[in-house]
Amino acid sequence: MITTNSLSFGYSSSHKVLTNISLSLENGHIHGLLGCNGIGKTTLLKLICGIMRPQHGEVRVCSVDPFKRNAEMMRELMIIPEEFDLPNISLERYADVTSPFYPRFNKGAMLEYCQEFHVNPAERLHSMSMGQRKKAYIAFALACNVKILLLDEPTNGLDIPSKSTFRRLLAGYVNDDRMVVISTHQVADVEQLLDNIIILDEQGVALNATTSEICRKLKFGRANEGDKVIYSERTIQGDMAVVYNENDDDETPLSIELLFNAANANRHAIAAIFNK
Amino acid sequence: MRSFSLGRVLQYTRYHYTVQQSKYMTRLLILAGLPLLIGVLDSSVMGAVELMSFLYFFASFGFASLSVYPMRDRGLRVLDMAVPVSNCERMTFFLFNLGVIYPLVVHVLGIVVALFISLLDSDVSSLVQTMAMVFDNGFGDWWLYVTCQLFASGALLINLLARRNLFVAYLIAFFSFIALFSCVGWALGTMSEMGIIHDNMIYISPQMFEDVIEPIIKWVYSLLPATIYAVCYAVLRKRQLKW
Repeated sequence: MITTNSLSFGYSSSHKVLTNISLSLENGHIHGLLGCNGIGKTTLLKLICGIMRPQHGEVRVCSVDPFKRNAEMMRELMIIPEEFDLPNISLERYADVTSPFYPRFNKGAMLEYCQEFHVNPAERLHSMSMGQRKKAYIAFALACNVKILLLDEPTNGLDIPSKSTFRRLLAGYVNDDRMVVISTHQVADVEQLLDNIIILDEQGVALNATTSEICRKLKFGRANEGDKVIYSERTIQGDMAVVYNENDDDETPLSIELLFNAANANRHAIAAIFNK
Repeated sequence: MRSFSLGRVLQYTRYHYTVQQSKYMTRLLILAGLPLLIGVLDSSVMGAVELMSFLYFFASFGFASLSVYPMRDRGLRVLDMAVPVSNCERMTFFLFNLGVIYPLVVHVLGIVVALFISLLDSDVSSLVQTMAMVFDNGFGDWWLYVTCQLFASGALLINLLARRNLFVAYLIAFFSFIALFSCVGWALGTMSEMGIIHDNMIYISPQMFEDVIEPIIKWVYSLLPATIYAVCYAVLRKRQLKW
């Protein structure tokens, strides 16, 4: 479980990125971390990893301050950054020297994931394309079987078949003892995976709710006469809107993009619905 | 929860050397290749080993930089910092890498280079003389070892303190060092002009120097690298990846 309490961070006095973030992320879910560019999503992931220290407030991962870098806590946590470099060795060799840190690493599973991603684990990582390298590292990270997996823009650079393989593998990864946090702008790639949505803005957490709760309280699509519209936008398919779901039985599929735009345009309305 | 495990330090050492394999190889090739080349051209084992002991100093900067490189590099740093080792274990690795592995590698390289040139020149007497130098005087010298440790720990500290431009940080450190010595020189010169001759201010007999002053200097000098390592640990705890 990850908790943050009144967490704030800035790279300088004029460059604040996170303000008063209070969150509680439970195991057994795939959490989607959304927000505009520069709002601090990557910074939040780094703070959770203990790579950076909060300026105000606190972060706790399994009740431990991650900045204290307790090795036994850290081996239950893994991050896949948006951009990263890997040494010029094969994935198998990389796994040989890195896996001893992760007690539940399963080499067989890694080779299986590599096969599904069409990545050769014996090939040197520098001779792979950026997308292949990302898939190789995702295969390694999933095989480590850590309790907390943090992914920063995981689908960037992946081809279309790999995105569906990624979704399938990730859906099978989560259980009651594990959680995944995905920070992304490519919501369409992970829309069906997420079961908890967190939207960050300049004022803090604009929304933190499960997808079932969102669908119970909001409807997405064309607005009918008499609907209470929270947000609407003109698209090729016509006017699409986010409206109050006054009848709990009448649920529509979640549109994360519409929800995100609604939270940005009408924060107070969204906050009033979910902070009741 | 255990905050320190020697097993993890060794695992991290293995990980570090595998990830940085090509960079270490390049530096070791320079460290061995340059004296070898000079030695073969000059047909002199002594010349090669003397050059090598000179390179020993410069290599201490290179090894210190490489020890920290994965934590500084834009592409590697997040993955390296996410490796589950505590700060204490990371610091133990730095000590182990710079205090044990590096001198050991340099000594072995020195012997191999000397042996190779002697074999080429069939110069056994020179080899025996050089080996004696490697083990007893030149390479095996206590002062040289501590000085290299001082250089290495200083370079480590610069790497941990410098936010972005490491080269500029080294330049600043170099000029600060020159400035400090210039100030000391200027102060002594001024005292001399004023008639205060520092040599005559305090008289120390050679016996007293040998019995009291020299051991104190040796202890202080020996403890300097350890002090810098302690400062490095504090910096590491405080700063982490905020470069």
